[in-house]
Amino acid sequence: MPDNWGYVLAAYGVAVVVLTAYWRSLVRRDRALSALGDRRARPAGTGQRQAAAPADRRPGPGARSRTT
Amino acid sequence: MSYARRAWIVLWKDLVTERRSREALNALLFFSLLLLFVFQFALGDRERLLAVLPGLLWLGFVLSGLVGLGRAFLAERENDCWEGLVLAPGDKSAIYLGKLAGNLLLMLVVEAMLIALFTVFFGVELGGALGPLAVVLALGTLGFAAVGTLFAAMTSQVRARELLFPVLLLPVQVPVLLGAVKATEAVLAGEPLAGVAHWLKLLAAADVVYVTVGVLTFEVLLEP
Amino acid sequence: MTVPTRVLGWLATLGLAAGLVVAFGVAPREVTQGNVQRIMYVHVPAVWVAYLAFTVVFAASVAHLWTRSPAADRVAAASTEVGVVFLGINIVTGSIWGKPTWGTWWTWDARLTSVTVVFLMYLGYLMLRRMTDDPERGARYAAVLGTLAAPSIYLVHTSVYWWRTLHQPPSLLKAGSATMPAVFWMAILVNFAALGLLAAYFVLRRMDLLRREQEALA
Repeated sequence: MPDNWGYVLAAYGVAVVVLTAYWRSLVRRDRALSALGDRRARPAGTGQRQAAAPADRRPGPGARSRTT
Repeated sequence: MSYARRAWIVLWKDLVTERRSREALNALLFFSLLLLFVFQFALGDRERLLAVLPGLLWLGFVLSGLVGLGRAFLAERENDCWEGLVLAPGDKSAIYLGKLAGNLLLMLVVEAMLIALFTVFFGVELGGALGPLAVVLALGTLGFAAVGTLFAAMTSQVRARELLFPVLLLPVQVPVLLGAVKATEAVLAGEPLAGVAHWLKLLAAADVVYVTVGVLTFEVLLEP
Repeated sequence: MTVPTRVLGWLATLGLAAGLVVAFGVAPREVTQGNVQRIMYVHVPAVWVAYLAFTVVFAASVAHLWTRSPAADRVAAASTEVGVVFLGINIVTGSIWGKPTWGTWWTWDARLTSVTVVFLMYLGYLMLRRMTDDPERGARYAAVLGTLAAPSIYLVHTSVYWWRTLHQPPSLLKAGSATMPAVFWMAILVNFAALGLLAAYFVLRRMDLLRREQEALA
């Protein structure tokens, strides 16, 4: 009976591809969550700079006119 | 108020609502008639139809069931009565049994109608098979309605409920479908029920499992 | 990722390497089927791992219904996902094995059919979780489904087996009969251990991700 190595390769290939894809999705979510965690943690470290930012964003005198 | 009485009240409410509007029943009977025509157009040949009659019957029952059961909690949801169910005092599984009884009755009526239509339109002869057929119908429909009622409650609060309901229901119904079709095959061929005792036992076991899980977990579904 | 999880990951990698060595280097070429039989070393362990995972789902679902523990819910969710992945691998490798062996990509063989129905059942579970907006309600609903699904596995396998084998001639070549020589069993068991370690690693990482996702939303 012919050995059909092509099929063996296909089967193991499918298993490898699926398991690798799943593992990579886990790693990707892990990184996304870590990045999210870092972004949220950052303001605590540079609080003063961040607190000043909204003030900077407020339009200065004459910077933007408002319709009344 | 006793448990049985609570279940009865739920059943009674659904029956009375249905009797007044006849909405579901009429639509489902009409649907059965349409199904018959669809089967005829899809399968054409009378010989071919009769050869697959058991499967075709249960296909019709399942399709009607999906349509009919999917809306089991529609009235409560549309009329903002869901909270009424949630706030009802006492053991909520009584509501499940009441709903189950109502759905079971509805499906049995539709099934009887479909069988009658098959008899008329395709010249099917049932004769002595009616009794055993009724047994198979009862066991199979109970299994279907038990899970259907539970899943109808589950999906009523979920996105894409019309899609999710059949997707969840059908795989779980495979044992019931197989058992019911096999038993119906035997019954329509004139064989005694004892010949398919193993299938009937499987159906009964499935019914017990489904109703038990339903009774035990329905309350969980009703929490806000 | 905790240290135990990391260790588990490395153990799984070692196990997978060992499994491949055993599957291709140690196990001999099978007499009737030829080397195609080596697919069994991933096909059979995969379904064992998947069903083990679904048993865990059942236990975790019941636990969640009993205690409303979020941890139990995470166990159920993660195990279902991993179980579905491995079961999918089982089905596809089974189909690939079937083509040269039986001549077709699919037969309504009892085992293949039952496993696919179970696969569809748990796929529905994942859909339910995805489509429930309220996470706490989603956990409850999923727990109900997870409780119902487990006895259903048994009912599905029994009914499909009867459907296929009663009043019908004995079916075709079995995927792996009980009378296999010891070395074949050893190869399957080694790969089962390897895939099992991998599955456990996946479940733990997934649970960790779920916990952090829930915390992020809180």
